[in-house]
Amino acid sequence: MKGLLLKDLTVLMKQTRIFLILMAGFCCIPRNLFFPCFVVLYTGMLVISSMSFDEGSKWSLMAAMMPYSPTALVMEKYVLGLLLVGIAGAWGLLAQSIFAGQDILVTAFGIGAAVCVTLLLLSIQVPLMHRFGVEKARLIIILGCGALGAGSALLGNLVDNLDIIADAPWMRYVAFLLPAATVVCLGISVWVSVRLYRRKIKKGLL
Amino acid sequence: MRNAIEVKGLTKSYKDFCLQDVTLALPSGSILGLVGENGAGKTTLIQLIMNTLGRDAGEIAVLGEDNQSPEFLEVKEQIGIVLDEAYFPQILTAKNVNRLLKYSYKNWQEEQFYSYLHRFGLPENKPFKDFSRGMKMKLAIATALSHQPKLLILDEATSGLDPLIRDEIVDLFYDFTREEDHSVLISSHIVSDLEKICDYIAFLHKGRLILMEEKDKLLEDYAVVRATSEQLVKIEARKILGRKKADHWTDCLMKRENVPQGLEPERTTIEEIILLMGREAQTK
Repeated sequence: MKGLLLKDLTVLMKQTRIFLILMAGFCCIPRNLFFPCFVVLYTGMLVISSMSFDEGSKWSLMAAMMPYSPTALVMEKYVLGLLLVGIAGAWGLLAQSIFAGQDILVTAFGIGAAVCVTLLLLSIQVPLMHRFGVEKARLIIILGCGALGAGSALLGNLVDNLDIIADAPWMRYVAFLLPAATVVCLGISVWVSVRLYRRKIKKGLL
Repeated sequence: MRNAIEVKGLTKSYKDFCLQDVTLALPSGSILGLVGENGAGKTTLIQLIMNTLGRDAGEIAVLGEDNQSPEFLEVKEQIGIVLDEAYFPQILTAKNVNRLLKYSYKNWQEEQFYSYLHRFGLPENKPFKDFSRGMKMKLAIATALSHQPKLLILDEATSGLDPLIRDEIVDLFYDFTREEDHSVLISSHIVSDLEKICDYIAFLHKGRLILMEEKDKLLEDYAVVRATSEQLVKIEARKILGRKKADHWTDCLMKRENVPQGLEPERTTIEEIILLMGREAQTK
């Protein structure tokens, strides 16, 4: 798997190096959690870009001929996601708490939430990409996000005081529930993706 | 002699195409040329052999292992593969490709890879997207040869290359089989390339294996006879394996043993055998 990871990291770095350097710099802006969280989300989505590059160059067919099992080929994208999101999260935490003087607990909570949301998104996107291909999956995700946004706006209109949600007793467990849900979703996502990948092989869709 | 590849009763159906009941074997230490028109099923067969495509029926063993067994992963270490295109990410350089494959194949030979780059005149730091087709195929061939493979599988590896490069590459494949346990399966529609290096010829036509024979035996056993229309009616139709009509005569492909007395059998070439058989199969 190391070879595959190196390939993806090399391709991504060549494509996004300057943008990532800029973003890493923006993470140091004092008392600003937006950029560290954005960088986490962005790096997570690089996995999707990497799958898109693979599809463009028909790399998947070449990789399937190499001594990698279907599970290893699927898992590699998840490992890539965890690696990128982990590095981005760690850098955001370091930059905000050390260079920008932000409270470490607040930063950890904010970035931790961003990491979980990014990995949840990834766990939805990767199987969709295996099932529908890059372009269709992107469209589905955009439509899904649009529907989520509209739903949130509707909820905002229906509930007069959003503090009701924030003050709900179960909210104190979010810090534990969110990471647990992320781990479970990632596990299910890997299982589904491996099955979808094997189906692609069977049907000759690589 | 152990077979490097054994295919038995292989069938794969698509909506508009079917690879039907293909049975063939590549004896270890030999070169098998897979010939067929575009869409005959050559690439499908290669994908089935590499287990990157599910089969409907049949059995495939590669280097002694069932290609659907977990052990086939280890066997893949010993297979060098070149597809009809080199599917490396466009932005990578040859140097990057070396790094990627160094951590993918246990037996990766870095020095050998660079020596092939040097031999083929390939730049180390130029992005793959700026390579010509010839350079791309040469890089793919260099990667296939640099992890001590025992079996080379080449899918149209020489098509689209100029004759000089093709000749150089074909010689390279020939050299590869000097080791007695090295074998090559090469698919191509350039029959002259195959005629030069192959020990065995398999001819696929519309998903069916029309012919699988030792090359020398093919040249010994088959002949073309030129018959006038009067002579033609006297030949049993089932003994004519292929024919090409001209104004005053018909060239018939036949087994030498079936050539009637009074007709002169002429030595034929693999290309002629394939063309005449393909033409006959098309008319049926």
